[in-house]
Amino acid sequence: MSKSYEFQGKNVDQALEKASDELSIPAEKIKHEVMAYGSSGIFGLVGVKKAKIKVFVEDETTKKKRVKPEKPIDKNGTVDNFEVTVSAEASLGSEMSSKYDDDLLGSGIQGLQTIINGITVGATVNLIQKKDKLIFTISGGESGVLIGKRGQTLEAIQYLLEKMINKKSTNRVRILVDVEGYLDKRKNNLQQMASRMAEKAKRTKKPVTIGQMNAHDRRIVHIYLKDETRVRTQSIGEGYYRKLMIFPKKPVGTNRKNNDAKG
Amino acid sequence: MKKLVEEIAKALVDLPEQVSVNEIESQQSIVVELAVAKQDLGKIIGKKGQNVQAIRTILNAASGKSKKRIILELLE
Repeated sequence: MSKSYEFQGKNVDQALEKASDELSIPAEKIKHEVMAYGSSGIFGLVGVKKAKIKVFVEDETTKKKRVKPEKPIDKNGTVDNFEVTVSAEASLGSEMSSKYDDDLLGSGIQGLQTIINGITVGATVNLIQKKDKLIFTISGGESGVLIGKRGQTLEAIQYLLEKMINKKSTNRVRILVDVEGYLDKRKNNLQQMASRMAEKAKRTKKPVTIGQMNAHDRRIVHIYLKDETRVRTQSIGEGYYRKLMIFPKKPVGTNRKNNDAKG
Repeated sequence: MKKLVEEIAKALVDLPEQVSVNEIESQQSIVVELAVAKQDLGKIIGKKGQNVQAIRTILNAASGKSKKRIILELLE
């Protein structure tokens, strides 16, 4: 019969690697069951969970052939087909990526393709499945037009696609649409701007306002400045006028009233 | 353009067979008229007009090709 061991890692691949090291079995031959996929949390800061796998070691090494290699859900996004093989042992796990059915994914890709075909020619859609969301990446075509001013076209596409998919799906599906790494680029830009503004707030000892951002952008800034001890961030206002403010923190001992004479 | 609006609308409504799109082209602009079943009108418009705003944003991006303004009209 088989013995089982548990391994943890940052993601399933790493856990597998660890297992293969310790048991000296090549990673692709390990028969395993994913107990938790783990997540890198929010930008690797909050809610980091480790992936956990259960590895079965059979006594007769000849049986290893039966083991299906598990398709990794990798971060680099090379999985472009949307069928994830669910091996028999994987389906025992509690949370599986197979909760997205192929019809839904197919219609999602088709819908997105129709939209982008209307905007530009020669763009293609790829799909990456993650545990908690679907990531559509668009490549080729006129990426500038697809992104739009301040990413507003991209946002609209994502919003509509989410509506279209969730209309068909019974449980809520989270999606993300990216055009050639734009989301990463924007995140970097925002973080740079955030540290610049935080510097300014500290230097001038006055609150700094950053306006005109959507919720997602503000969230990036909030999280980025969360660990900065000398400033605090807050969103003020409603709707379009909602602004993010960075306050310099007073040294301990002075009164807490903020002098926001200048915006 | 017509096809684009039609596809999006059909994916949003409950009664896709009642979606009809009409396109009127003039020199400077294209008016796209979208008619849906009465019960689905809210689904096209969305909360605070969010859906229809998103459709219009996409149409604006798509208008780059034809160099004409695209106006989306919802028919009641």
